Amino acid sequence: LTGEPAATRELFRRHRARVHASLFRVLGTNRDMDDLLQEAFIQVFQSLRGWRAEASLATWIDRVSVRVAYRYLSQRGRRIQTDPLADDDDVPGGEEPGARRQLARDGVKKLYAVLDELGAASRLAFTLHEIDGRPLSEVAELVGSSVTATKLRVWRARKKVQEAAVLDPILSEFIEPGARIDPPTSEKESA
Amino acid sequence: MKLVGKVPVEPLDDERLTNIERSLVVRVSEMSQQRGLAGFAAGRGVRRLFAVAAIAMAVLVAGVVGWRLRGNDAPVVESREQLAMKAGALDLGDAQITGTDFTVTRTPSRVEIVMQPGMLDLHVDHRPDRLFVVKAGNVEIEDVGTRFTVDYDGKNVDVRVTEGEVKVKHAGKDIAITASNAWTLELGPITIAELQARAQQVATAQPAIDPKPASTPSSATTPSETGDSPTGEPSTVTSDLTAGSAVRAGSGSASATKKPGKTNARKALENAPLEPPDEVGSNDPKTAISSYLERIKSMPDGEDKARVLYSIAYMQHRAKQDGPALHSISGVVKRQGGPAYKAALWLRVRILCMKTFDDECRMATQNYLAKFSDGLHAGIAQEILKDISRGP
Repeated sequence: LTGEPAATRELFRRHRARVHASLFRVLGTNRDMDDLLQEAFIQVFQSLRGWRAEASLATWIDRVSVRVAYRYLSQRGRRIQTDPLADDDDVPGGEEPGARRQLARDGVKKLYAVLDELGAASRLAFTLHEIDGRPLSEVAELVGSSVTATKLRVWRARKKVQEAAVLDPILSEFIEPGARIDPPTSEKESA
Repeated sequence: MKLVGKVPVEPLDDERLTNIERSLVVRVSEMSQQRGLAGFAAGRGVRRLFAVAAIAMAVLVAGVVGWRLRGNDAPVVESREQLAMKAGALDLGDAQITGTDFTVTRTPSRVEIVMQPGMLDLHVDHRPDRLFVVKAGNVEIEDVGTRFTVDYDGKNVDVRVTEGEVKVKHAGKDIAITASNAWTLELGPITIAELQARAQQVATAQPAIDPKPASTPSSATTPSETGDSPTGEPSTVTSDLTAGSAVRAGSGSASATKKPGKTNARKALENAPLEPPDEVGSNDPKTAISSYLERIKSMPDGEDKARVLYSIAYMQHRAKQDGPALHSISGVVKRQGGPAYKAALWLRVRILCMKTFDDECRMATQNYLAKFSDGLHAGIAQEILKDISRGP
């Protein structure tokens, strides 16, 4: 609270990995991560007086980070330039065969390309729930919305991703391995 | 849809994390200082009420005491607040101050800024009921409602007025300095244009190898003034370092104040060339930074932008605004490549290691060496790490 450098460092070091992971899963890139991480923690320090220990500090920091991500997504007019992921050596899970890894990388790229078309709120809800693995109730709390509204946003985003997967075998394989989603044909429709 | 765990988080490297952490620490510290002042300003209304009540009480008490003691003068007591500021910006409501470390002492009728060596940029509203004074060593600058800068290196003082008027008090004399004019301890009153022309002349007239002229504060880190060039690094690191250190170690009394065993690396660090900034037609940091900021507005991301950012960092460092300089550097190193990247990494070593060889200095040095292990700077970086490992 008093800007003590050691305390600032300690808080940053304890929470940076989790905040970074969440922000990365929302954005799919490290492009502006330096500014975002810094901004998130600045906001944390600015509003630390307002923290009443009703939620754990981690949850509270996550809430602040989500707000920062939301603002970023809104300001950037939805489109985030997703970096191609790092070289193979840098990708966790390096034991996978090269072709499969490449496929996974392409899948991630395609997924985020679809997410770029979503609104900030839908993207946040979808990524926090489907990619970051948080329960809907937690996502609702983090984004400051009702569970029903959050569920609806996730559903809309999921539908959009599935629609794109129908036309894209790589994305389809990525989101549902082994269960390729075929495009609806006129025969199927008539059936 | 099974996506949990399928998007690998691309890690941030240590260098980026260090940069973020460093900028965060600087900004949080600035914020807390400003918050202290903001609280001070927010409480002003309440304080005013108490002040009125206190004054009324004081008048009453003074009246009673005065009547009883008849002839004894009651002492005048003014509320007095003092705040030590680290580098950053401070808004007092009727005065904005940006720059390096200083102390503010404020009473209702007087604001006094005592500068540590560094540079301040002040924008002050004129209020006839309050005196605004900046003290730089034994020079006092009294504001008369204006915008001005004070550059103080612990010995020399340079005052430049861009709007309004200030009164400089030194050696029992009062000198009024109006807009577009300046005053320096060395030259007395002078126009800013003339001062800049002189700086330019000095810059071009400096000998090729002149590590650190002591007369002008800002010239100490100017490559153009020290004759450094971007390609001027000698090919043999060890010989240059040893020779340079040996010559300088015996050349002045400064070496006596250095800690034993740290003299060579520290001196080499001080004397090592910095990559010069982009040419902008002015040697004055403030003017140069304004030009760079104007230039960078329309620039797309890329090496050119990184160069301009580096130039800003360079000038901020020259103006002794190391907090903002580190922030600008982090903008360059984010790009992870290009000539500006190397220059920025070294500038960071210089900023963080000039005061003490501490943890931050060590991390910056290690970062530099991890990326660039050859050349003069790498040699100095190794010396710094050796000194650190030797301990105090």
